[in-house]
Amino acid sequence: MPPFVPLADGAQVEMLYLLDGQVVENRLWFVCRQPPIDQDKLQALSDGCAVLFRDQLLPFLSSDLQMLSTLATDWTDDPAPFVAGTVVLTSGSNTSGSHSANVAIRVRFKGSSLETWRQNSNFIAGIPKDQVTLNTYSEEIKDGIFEAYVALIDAASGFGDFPAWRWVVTSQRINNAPRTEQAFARMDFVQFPSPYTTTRRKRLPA
Amino acid sequence: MAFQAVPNVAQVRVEGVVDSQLTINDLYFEISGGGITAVNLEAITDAVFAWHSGEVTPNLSQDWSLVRCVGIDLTAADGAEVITSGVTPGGADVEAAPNNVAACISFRTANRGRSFRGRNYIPGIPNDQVTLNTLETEYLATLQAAYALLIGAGTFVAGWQFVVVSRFAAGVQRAEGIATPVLTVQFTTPYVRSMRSREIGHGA
Repeated sequence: MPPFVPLADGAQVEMLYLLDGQVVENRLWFVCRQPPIDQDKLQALSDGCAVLFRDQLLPFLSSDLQMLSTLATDWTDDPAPFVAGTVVLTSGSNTSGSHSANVAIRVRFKGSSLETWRQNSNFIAGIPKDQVTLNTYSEEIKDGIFEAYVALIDAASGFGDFPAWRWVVTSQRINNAPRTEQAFARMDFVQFPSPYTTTRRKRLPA
Repeated sequence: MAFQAVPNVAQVRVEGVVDSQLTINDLYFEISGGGITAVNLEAITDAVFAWHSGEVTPNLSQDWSLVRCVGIDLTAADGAEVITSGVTPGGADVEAAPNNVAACISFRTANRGRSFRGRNYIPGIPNDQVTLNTLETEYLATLQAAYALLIGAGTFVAGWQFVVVSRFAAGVQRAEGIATPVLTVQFTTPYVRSMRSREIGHGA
């Protein structure tokens, strides 16, 4: 297990989904703009992410995918001083059937830092069959994913009393060693590195 | 890796194309009797091509095409090579699942351990044969029956036997590769498996 690398005034938000009996996870990082973090601020962050992804991302994903919850974890210390969760239990809207769980669309996040932190990506699961032609995903789903994540950039500041949170990209390692504290930069760009679907092998049943 | 001989064994490389990406599956056959010649190498290569185009290809998506089979004598570095070509599209009039999605069939011998098992990742799976992660039972049975036709000493092609090849033991390269007859073929899971190198941008 990798060592804990704290994020100053920061929190991790996990979006948890269920696809064919397997839990699928994506995570994002946020920094509190009115520190210190407390339970209410963390709950507002979790609730905000839950509502945004439920309302803006799920309509583009398969009905075979169910968003279970969001889980926000205070990442300033280990064990986490505060944890907050939000139950979602909402399925995607597209009924054409989902591609298998090892088929994903990679969306990459780039921040204001000049450094390239490659780990800042989400791999979207529950890709509807009618949104992929062989390996190429449609502009429709690309635009939908793009708009959902772009909306998060501005929305995060409203997850609580303004200005509440800032979505950031982070780096936990440098020169192949863990940092003492995560480096972070304001999240600025949502990118799709490839027009083709990509693999998430570990999401398949054993 | 330097050339490693596998005496009396031919590798038959089944090559196909889907969405402009090359797919490769390797099969190995051991000759009995007087060794590999250009004539019997051509016979096994032709037979594999005919077997695949007649038994496997019809079950794959039309988006995938069998392109050629390449038979290689692994006995020596300058062993013969035979190519049997002919573009044969899959027989299923259904779009293929993305390139990284495959059905993984396992080749089993009388021995246990990784040195004595082989597998093929079957590409071009029709979308209607996959529900979420699960391949249709009948579809798996059809593919299993197709691969079972390769099993047996002299059964598939006289003089040849379907084998798996091991080139390493405990992480160390063997002096020569060894061949072990395949006794059964099976799917160890009903779920699809990943072949990331076939993704666009990764493979050939």
